[in-house]
Amino acid sequence: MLLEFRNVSKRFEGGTAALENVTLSIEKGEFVFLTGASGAGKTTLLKLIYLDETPSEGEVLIGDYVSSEASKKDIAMLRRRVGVVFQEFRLLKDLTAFENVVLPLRAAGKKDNEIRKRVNSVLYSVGLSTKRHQFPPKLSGGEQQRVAIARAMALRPSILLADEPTGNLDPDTAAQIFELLLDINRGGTSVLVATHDIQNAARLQKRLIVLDKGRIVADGTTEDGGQEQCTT
Amino acid sequence: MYHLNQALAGMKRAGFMSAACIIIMTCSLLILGIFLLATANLREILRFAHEKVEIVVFLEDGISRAAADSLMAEVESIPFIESIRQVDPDEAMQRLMREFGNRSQILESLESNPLPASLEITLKPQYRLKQRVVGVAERLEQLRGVEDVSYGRGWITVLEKVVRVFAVVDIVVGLVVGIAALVTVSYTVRLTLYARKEMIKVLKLVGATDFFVMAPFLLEGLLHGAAAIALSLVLLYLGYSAVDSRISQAVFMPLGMILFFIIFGLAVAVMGSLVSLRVFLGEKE
Repeated sequence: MLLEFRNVSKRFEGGTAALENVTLSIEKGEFVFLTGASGAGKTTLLKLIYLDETPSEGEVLIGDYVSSEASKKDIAMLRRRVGVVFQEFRLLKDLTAFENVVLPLRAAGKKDNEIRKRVNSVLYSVGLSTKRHQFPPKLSGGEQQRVAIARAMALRPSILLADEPTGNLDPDTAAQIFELLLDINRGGTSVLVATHDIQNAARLQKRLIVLDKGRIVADGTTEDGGQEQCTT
Repeated sequence: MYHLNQALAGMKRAGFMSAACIIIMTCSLLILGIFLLATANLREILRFAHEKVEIVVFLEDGISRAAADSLMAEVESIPFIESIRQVDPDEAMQRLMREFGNRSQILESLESNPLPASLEITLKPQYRLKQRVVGVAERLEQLRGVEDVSYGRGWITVLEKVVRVFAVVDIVVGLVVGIAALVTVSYTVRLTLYARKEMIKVLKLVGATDFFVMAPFLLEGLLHGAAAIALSLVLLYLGYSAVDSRISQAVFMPLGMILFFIIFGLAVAVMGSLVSLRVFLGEKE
């Protein structure tokens, strides 16, 4: 088991409930879509995985880490095992594509030689070798998301979390990004994608978790172009 | 090396703020430095005064040769004494005449020499402290054949008080200046932190420890502090040289004081940076 939510609820100050009694598990190598309307709790669920938030009730287990016991140092170490990409890319504009990808490797204390090799390899795998010295504002949306994915994959994480990774992209580019995520998954990394893009999710015939008002209302595999078989 | 590069890049990016921070810190340290210099010089004056401390024992009028010899033997047996010099009434009169200069005719009209014989006693350097001098003087007063004992009681006491007051003033000035410098560094680092908020968010997201995030900012604070310390020491030395050319025997801060000054400046710089970093890293996105 790579990831497990045990009766997790998350309430914010003022009592707003973002997640209610969520129980789920994700195996090593799985590809999972997380979908639901805005405010359904998708982003909160992802944040609980990279421990940007902690549960109000219940527990999240990520590899060897348990949400209730993780120290600040544990959180830093955990984030080296969990790659995250966002709709708005979150690249540093004053750093080149190459330098953006360097950051996690530098933070993990890797040597210069190793960093150079790894960054070149991961930028090659997302198809951006030739643009590695470009600054993000000079890159298209799709290319920026590829840099963000390369950065998230730099430390070879066990799981890649993507929060609306295609939200700012046109359909063709979105499809290419989904292809890239599938490629990464084929390489053995688990992938969890939070998305509104039900069509793409259904087309790819992967496990789909549907959230509504903080609760899991469906969890199953989409088959035959979107016919959803719910197990919950 | 990575952290140092980041710190230098940060200073370059925040050029004006960095310069302003260094200037304000330099001014704060200069104020403290001036007080420390004044203290060092007062201490030097006090040390000089202690070196000149002499106890003068005036002997009773008409004391017999035998009584004077036995008194001398008793004085010699007192510990801490470095030297004893006997001054007979004639030598005392000659000294007085020298001091009176061309008005010494007044003294020539005297029928007999009214000045008593005396002993001029110097203590060993390490015993020239006020309490020790007073102790020895009191002991000398008890001896037979002694009319009076005098030493520079008044002004040494005043000088010692001034030095003590300055030590307290140094602490107060140090505190005020320290707080001012700390706040300056803290705000500069805070502004840099806000300017690089995105960088910090990304670093924390990709698994950087707090230390990794903090190190360049701490170094930046330290570099500001080091620059301000160096600048203020140079300015203080230039100021001291200018004064020294007019008043000889002025002293610069002794090594111990310079070390204190450097450590104080660096400590303030690091603490200023840490205050902001703690606040900043404690904040949630």
